[in-house]
Amino acid sequence: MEKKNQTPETSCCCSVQSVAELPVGRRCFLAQAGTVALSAAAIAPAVVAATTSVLTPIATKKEGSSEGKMYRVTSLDQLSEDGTPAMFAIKDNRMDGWTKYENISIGAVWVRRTGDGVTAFQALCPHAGCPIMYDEKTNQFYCPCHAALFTLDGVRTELPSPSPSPRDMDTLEATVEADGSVLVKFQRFKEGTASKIVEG
Amino acid sequence: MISKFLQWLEDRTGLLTLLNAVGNRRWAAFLMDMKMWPAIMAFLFVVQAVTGFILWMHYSPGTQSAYESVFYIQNTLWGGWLLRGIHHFSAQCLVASAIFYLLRILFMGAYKAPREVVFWLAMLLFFFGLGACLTGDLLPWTQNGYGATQVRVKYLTQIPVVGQMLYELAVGGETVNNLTLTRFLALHIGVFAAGLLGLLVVHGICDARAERRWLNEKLKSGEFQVPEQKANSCGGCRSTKIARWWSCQAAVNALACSVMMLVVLYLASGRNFSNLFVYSPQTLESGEVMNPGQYLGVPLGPPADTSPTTSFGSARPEWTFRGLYQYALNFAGKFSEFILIFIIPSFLVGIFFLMPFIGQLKYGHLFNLGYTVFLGVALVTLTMTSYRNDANDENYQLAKQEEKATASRLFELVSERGGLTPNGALAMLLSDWKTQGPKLFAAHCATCHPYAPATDAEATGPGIFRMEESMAPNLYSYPSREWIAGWFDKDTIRSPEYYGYKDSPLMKGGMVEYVRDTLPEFLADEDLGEAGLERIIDALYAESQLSAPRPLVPMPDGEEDETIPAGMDEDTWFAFQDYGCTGCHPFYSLQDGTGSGPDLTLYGSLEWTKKVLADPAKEFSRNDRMLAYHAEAEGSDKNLMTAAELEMLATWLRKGAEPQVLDVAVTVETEATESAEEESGEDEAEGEAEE
Repeated sequence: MEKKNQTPETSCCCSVQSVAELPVGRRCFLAQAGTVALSAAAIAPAVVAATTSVLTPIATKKEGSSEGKMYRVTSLDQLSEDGTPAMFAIKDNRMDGWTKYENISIGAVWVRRTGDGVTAFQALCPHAGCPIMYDEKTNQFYCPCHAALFTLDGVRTELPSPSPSPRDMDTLEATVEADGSVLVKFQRFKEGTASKIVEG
Repeated sequence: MISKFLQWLEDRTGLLTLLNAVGNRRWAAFLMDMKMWPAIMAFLFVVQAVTGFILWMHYSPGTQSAYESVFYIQNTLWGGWLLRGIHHFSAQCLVASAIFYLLRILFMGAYKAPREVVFWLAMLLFFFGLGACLTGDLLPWTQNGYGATQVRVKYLTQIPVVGQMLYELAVGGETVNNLTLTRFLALHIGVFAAGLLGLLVVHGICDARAERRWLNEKLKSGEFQVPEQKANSCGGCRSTKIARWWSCQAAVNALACSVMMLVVLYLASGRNFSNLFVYSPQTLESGEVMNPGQYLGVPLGPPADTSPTTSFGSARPEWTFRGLYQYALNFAGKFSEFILIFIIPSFLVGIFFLMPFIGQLKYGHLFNLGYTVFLGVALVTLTMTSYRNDANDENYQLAKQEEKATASRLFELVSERGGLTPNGALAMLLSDWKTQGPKLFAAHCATCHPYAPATDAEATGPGIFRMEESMAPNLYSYPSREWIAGWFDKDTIRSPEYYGYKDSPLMKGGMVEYVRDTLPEFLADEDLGEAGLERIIDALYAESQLSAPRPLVPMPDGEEDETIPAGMDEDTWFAFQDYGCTGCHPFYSLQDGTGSGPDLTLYGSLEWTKKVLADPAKEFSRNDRMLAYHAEAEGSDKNLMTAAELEMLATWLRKGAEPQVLDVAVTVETEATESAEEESGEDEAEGEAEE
């Protein structure tokens, strides 16, 4: 501590011997602050450009045009009368980075015939978003990733242990047109929540 | 001369002094088994860096090229499979080494002051190793890597407020896509690999500093003594406490690194060292063995299909995350996913970071040890449970089988063509009848038609479909000779495999009636008999064109200008009339009947099969519930299948079950040779570096 008082001001920012000896004083502070500020200013443009580029995905508008659109997926007579579910792809355009894909699968739905009407489900599991599959041996829906089971009505089966899925399969609005066309309103929902929250 | 040069070098660089300082550093000899771990990790890192750099030279990130470039590395580069195998398994070993090192530190109590930072840095090494593994998992753009990554990053959205943003930043968009690959590659190399290097260096410096202080204290207090240095002594490894780095610790390190490399090679060779020698360039050139890349190293699964209709059925985390995976399954539904996946694991890991402080308390060290043992046992148990569950999961095993079959089919396609197509591996598989046939059948046919050998009730596989009560004929082995012959047996035709399925209106139809009542009379007839029927069956099978194409030729010694299929004799031709077939079925120019049965012209051929699939009501006057799959013009969204899908399904139906009846030379519609598909018996190397 005695040494500090003896430190000549000319040696302001140099010849520091240990942590305790960091120079203090107004001129020292200014010089140090100036050095830091100058360095920061020098690197700033690069940091700004890097940050904006990286943040692009959250800054750009979603390609959510597909959300809530009605898609024709099949026709009624092509669905099994006994209510066996069938999976259909939702086809639309999708951007993948810089490439625009036209009329490719952007989603999948399970559709079951119920008399003259249909029931449609989003095929993604409400738990973690894996595509749900249909097991014809046990006649139920299952998710291969985390073993969630659903009845054909999309209701979670709690056996043998609590379902990993926080809610039942997500139903989608579906209508049957006069010509038998089955239309499904395609939506995605947030995973992992007990309530259905439309995404996007 | 040499000593002069060394002196010169020393003058300019101080290198010899440095080397001497390092080599003569004193080490605690009884801690050599702890001190070797950072060296092992540094060694594995160098292995990673070298192999990784060469992989980088050949890798092309992108949804249209990533898989393809890895396919090239795996199957075309000389020893590329080994390069990839070493890179993969040394990464696993690096993570395992970090675990062993941490355990050794913990049981030694070497995490306490003043070594807190050394311990923390070792933990960071572990986490950066995991980060490199997680990002590396996606890079080959296989279905499993894609599926697993999609699920993993989706968990980010569970974090309140910023979750969605983090997710979009991680994947560079709304779903895992091209930009995810470029991001993950940058993270893999620029953050995790570079970070590992930095951590290894900083850890080394901090460790050496803490070590020196500790040793000096011990020496000062007289607890340790510097052994007397004899001339020609080699490090003094055998003296009780103190040894020199060179070449005592160095020897241990070298031995440990060699053992580690053997472990890596063992895993990369498909757990059989002899494989490393079987596959030399010479044996490959001579065609004695298949390309090793298909069986050895890290198996390369099928390419990622980002269509949301594709199952993630065989995607599972690596062994490092299996415990966490099973834990999340066990406790699923009991907590929210955010608490389950982020809060609880962070808390459990956070305890480790606090251990240096806990260790200062009375019984703190004991607590730390107990906690470590508890967590370790729990993780090992969970990991084993997960593997056991998978072994008993039929759907998972089927998905694994299908994965393997698809990958080897791709290899076959690429080999036949001599390279990948410009639109990539996935497009090749999506236009391959052998791959798509079973999928199309599952999607469109399997709810009514079984597709399984009647003789072998046990047969299962991706291309086998059964049901308790079929609602249409079993199409397995259609249109083989045996299958056709079945129609003419009065018991067979009424079995569930043919027309005897549930609620079959065709049981009351003309064909059943004919086979039951009329045919026996013909067979009993002296002039007609069995031989004529055999001729008809042969002729019908020939119509399928599976054995040879049958152009129409003028009938030998024929009246007028009648034409019949080449190879058919006149007796057979008229047998169709004699046995009354043409009373219902049209057959070329023989159309004397009602025409109520399907046209037998080119029966079972690709064209005929496609026609039936496209619009069965047109072919079958008694069509029983079968849908029209392509009745409208191509492009109409009323068609259930595109023309290309129709073609693939028809091709598969004709050949899927019995590739051996194929005569490749004359089947015009497929370029695929039916080389016997050999399932490799190689165990899948899961990368369980000793646990």
